[in-house]
Amino acid sequence: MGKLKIEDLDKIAESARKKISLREGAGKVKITVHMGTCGIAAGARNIMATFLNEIEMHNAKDIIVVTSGCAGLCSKEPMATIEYENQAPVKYIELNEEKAKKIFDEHVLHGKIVPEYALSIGSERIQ
Amino acid sequence: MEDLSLHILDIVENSIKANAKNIEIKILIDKKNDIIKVTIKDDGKGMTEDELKIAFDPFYTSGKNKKTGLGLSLLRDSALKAEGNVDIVSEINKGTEIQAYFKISHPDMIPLGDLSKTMLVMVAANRDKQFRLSHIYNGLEFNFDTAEFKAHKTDIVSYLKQIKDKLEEYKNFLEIIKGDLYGI
Repeated sequence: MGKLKIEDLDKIAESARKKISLREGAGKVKITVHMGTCGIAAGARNIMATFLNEIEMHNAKDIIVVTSGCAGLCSKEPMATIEYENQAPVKYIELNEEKAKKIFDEHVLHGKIVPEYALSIGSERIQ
Repeated sequence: MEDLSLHILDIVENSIKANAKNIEIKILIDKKNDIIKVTIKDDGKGMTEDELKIAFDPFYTSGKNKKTGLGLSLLRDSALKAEGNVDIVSEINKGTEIQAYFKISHPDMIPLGDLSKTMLVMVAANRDKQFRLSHIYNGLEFNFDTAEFKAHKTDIVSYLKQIKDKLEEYKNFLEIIKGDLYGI
């Protein structure tokens, strides 16, 4: 590894600030796990349990966790929607525990969307 | 649904959608009389008489985004297969009580499943609701009441820790039941 530059230090400081603000309550992320009958039958309970474990492991105190019903896309369950502060909600589909962990590490903690697991960006409500 | 714990999670989601504030779950396992009774009672918006008549119809739902309502019909299906049934008592603006019963020794009786995980998930994701669980098995009893945890005064991490500590006791309780019921 080469010498650290001032810019590198800035990057490290910025990423640490984000993590700390999330932990200390300045940031807000909402995780919604879809828990309709279809979601539950497809494994939504384990997805929720994985998110809860990650929250505990990272001591991430400023995360809101809720459930919602069927979003009308039963074949894509288990699904979860992540709403990171000041970003559009992202709906993730066909989740398993590994995918949920990756989404937590990248999107919930750092605001970096994981496009390969995402269905779309936008609200879950169909008007 | 693969097991009873998933059915319970599913039915409780109905209570949450019905804006219930208090949800009471009672699980009674009476080995002597060969029966498991599960009661889920809420103080949600309740169902009209017309809704009650079609509550088990898989093509009826109160949901707006979908055309099927499988939760109750799947629960009844599991109960009927184990010589049981499901009863619903509901009153508008008062709440709903669902009681499902099963014959323990029936070969098609579904397993109990991971009841402790169901409790964890439903309680942690609904901090604004009060949950009470009473699980009775041959004179043994496990009680869980979220009123103990003061959800509004704690952050999610401390709340999770409190719930998990309490649910460790429940896991031990369930191990005793499984050992006794199924000899494992």
